Amino acid sequence: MNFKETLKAEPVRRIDLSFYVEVRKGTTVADAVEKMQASHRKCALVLDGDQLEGIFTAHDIRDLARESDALQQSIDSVMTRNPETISGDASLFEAIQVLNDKPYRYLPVLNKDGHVIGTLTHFAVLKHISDHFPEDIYNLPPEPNRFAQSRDGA
Amino acid sequence: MTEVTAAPQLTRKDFVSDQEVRWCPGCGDYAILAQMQRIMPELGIPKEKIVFVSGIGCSSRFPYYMDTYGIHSIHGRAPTLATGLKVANPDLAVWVITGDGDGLSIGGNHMLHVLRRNVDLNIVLFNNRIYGLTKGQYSPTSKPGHVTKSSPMGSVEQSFNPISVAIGAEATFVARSADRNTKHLADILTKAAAHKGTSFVEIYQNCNIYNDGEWLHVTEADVKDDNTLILEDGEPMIFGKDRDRGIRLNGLYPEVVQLGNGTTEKDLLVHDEQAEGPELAYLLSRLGPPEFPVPLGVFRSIERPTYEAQLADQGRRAREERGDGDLATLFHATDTWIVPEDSGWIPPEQRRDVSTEVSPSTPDYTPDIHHEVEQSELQALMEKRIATLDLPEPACVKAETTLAEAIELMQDRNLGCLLVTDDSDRIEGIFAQGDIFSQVARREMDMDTTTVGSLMTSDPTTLSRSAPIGHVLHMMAGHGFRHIPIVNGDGKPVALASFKSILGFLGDLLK
Repeated sequence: MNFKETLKAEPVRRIDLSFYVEVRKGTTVADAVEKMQASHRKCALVLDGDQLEGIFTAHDIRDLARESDALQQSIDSVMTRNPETISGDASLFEAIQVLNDKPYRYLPVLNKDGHVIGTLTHFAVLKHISDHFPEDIYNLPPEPNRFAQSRDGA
Repeated sequence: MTEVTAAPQLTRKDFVSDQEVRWCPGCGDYAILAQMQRIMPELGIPKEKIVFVSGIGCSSRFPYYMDTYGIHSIHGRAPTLATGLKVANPDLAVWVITGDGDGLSIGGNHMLHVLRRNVDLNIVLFNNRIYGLTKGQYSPTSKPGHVTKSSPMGSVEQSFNPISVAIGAEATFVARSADRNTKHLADILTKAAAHKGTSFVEIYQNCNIYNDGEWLHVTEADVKDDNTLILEDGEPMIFGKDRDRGIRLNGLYPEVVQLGNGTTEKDLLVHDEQAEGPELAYLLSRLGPPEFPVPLGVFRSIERPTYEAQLADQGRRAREERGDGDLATLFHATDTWIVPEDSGWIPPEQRRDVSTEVSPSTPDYTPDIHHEVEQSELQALMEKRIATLDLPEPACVKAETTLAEAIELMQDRNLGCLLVTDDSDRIEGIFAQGDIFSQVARREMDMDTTTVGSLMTSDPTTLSRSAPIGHVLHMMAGHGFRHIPIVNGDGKPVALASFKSILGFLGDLLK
């Protein structure tokens, strides 16, 4: 199976979707940022029970950075509501199209019941492709030009 | 109370198996087998606690013929199996039976390391200076010039001296005997069994089919006393049929001297097998014809902690200090992933055909069109240069730029990352959205005085425009870099590659 077929066969739910944290609706921005920072995540999904309410990312933090009272407000007022999502059953092939066509860095992933099962990121897709084709990606010389240009020996 | 009964006294017969011995009639291996079966009862070890492990070769048939546990294992790898066996079952008496081919050619590496580790094993190397099982090719111990099936003009290789190799590999017990020197052989095998740590015993063994008579000078009754030096701990080194010659040290070098005429035993070198350093043992290992007799006996026997005892001790200490471990926690402590059966995961051997095998009907290499098509998508990663990517120009700032200014710039142009350049416009750092993160959370710093230079990542990894695109992905997926600045020959940034740009490239490949 080649590259394209591999990606068409692989559902989104099978890749690493863990690059996010979950916070409750009504959490302060300060608490959300602290939670994100503690787990080295740049994305927080805001949930009300099982339901996805919004998304809050490093981009939003950048935009809040210069507001003096930003940290004390509720995350509800600064998050992006009703973010675009993707199904866990979508293929990676479809996911790559979505990530390339839309401006989002983080796409919440939902299961059949509409519950959050993770967040899709560009990095996770790149990492997953690299893991599938290590010879093409990992097995490269440290410097692009520093390798044998022709075969040595028989 | 359970009544303790003494284990029955075993005899040689208890160690003779029911297997038909398949060595050639007259092979020296038989003599070694006989001595091993002879000493076994005297060791007082129950049969079920004894294991013989071998590799491949004539000598490696040995375990079949001992009525103990045995493993006829992988070529050259007997030391590895034996190590695992001993570490997991320290109460076993483990013997490794090997030959000059199995132990010093294919298994040379394993031999070195098992000796160095000092696992409590008894390694017996049958040295016949030939590959017997494969019918007569030269081995690593064959003499230079030896004419064999694989060296019709004579071997051009310097041979190994197994004793020198073992000493060099830090073996704690090193000895030599000869197949036909039965009593001496039994004595040496007994001492090897008693030693705690790796015992290495080289046995001169005659292959009467492919290398007959190789060791006659040390085994034939009428000449062996003149040609061998029997090493005895604490004794002066005297040899000869009439015990009238000895080994003396002249400066750094040994010499043969005739006793009498003022030369006495007191002038001779005295053997010390327990000497801490390997110098004397090594010096002795180099003795041999034509000038010197061949030393037989124990070259070296020193005490060092065994591998398995130290390992067990570490495990015990770790438990005491940190408590019982949890395998599941350990397993999940690092990158793990699940490869489901229907995931489309492709076994490496099916991924793409990199074989350059040429079938007899096509003497010249002709591209396989089918495979060309299959490969083409990811091949583009190495064929296309970074210059062909449509990458955004980077936004550059100086290190003195304040955080307030930097954030404003990033907001205005919706950037996730800024590059920091020096006065010559060469790249000196990278400042990403994530670097703001911790600062915002703390709220301590002053946006108008904190500089980008204090928060940036200095000296980032860069690539040139001429590098294949695959290297960008290599840096991202293999090293975890989020942004790769692309620089020109002067080190000035000309573009910025991000996750998004590479995924965009891969997306285009799929169209």
